[in-house]
Amino acid sequence: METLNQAQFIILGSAVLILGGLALFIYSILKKEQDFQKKEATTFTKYNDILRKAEDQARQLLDSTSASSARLLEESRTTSEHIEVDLDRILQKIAQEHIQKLNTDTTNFEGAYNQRLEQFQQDFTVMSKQLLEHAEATMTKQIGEATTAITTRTSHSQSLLEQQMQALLAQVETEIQEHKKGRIAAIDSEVRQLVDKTYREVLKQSMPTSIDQKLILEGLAKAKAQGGITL
Amino acid sequence: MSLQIFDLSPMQKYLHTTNDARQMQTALQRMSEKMFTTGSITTEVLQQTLPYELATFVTRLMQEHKVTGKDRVQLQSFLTSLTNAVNNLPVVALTLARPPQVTFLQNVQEWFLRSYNTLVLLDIAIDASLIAGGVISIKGKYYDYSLKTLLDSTQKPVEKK
Repeated sequence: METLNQAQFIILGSAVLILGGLALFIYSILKKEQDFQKKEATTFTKYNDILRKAEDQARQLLDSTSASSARLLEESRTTSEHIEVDLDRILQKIAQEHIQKLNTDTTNFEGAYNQRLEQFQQDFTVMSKQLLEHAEATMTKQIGEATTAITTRTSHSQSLLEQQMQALLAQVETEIQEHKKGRIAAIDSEVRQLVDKTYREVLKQSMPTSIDQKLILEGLAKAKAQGGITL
Repeated sequence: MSLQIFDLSPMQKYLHTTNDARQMQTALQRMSEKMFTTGSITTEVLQQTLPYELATFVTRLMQEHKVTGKDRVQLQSFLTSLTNAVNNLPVVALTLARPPQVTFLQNVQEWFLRSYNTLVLLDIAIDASLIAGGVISIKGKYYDYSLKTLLDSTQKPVEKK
């Protein structure tokens, strides 16, 4: 077997150390996990105890509450029966008092009402008579005034209407005159144009060709005399 | 050979309008072409190429200016001068109410020849609305001798009434 040299020894030592460290690390993780699981189991047991206690307490409370309710119910039923009898009696008494009071008040009110009604009838008759008299006088007066106003207005309206009619008539007459004038002017113009056109056409047809030469040569002679032609 | 040597007034019977002048120029052009083809121009060739009056006139001009039909250079110069002389004739634009008769055109040309000592070319146009007479235009100046204008000028005061 060959002896290990220094370098190989160092590598081997390092490997052993690393492996040792790794084993230690895994062991610590496993340990932590085990502790955590133990702690969790303890916590769970505690929670269960607490829940069981709370359930017992709740059941006891429910039982005592039920018992109290039953007792209270029994007591209230007895009280109600007493109250009911008392209330009946009081109500009957109040009702009798009210009926008596109502009867008295009704009798009193009926008398007063009849008296007031009679007074009102008398007052109304007087007032109606006065009102009728006043209304008659007012109406007679107003009818008289209206009649006068209508008569005045009618005569005014008539004269106004007459004036407007006159003005309208004058305006219409003027418009008719203007329209007539315009139409006559238009017809006049049309006739003139027609006559002019016919006249020109007739002239064109009847004019001897010699007139062309005459007009041109005379015109040229005139232009030359005025010194107007430059060739 | 200057242009002034040509007296075109004898052409009055043949040359009235700008249209006549164009025809004459075409004829002279034809004659020039003939000369290049044949090498010379004889009286017979002239009479075959040009209208009778123009042929007579050109023959006379050639005789007057001693132009022989055999000298090609001289003949070409003569034809060019003649064409230029026609081109330089004054043009009188004449718008008439009706198509004119030849005598009318001759009389107008005669008037210009007598009055201004020159042959003029008439550029004829027709406008029936003129009724009678016509409108003359010379170098952008207008002279209206139409019956239409005469009537219009006499009618205007009536319309204003």
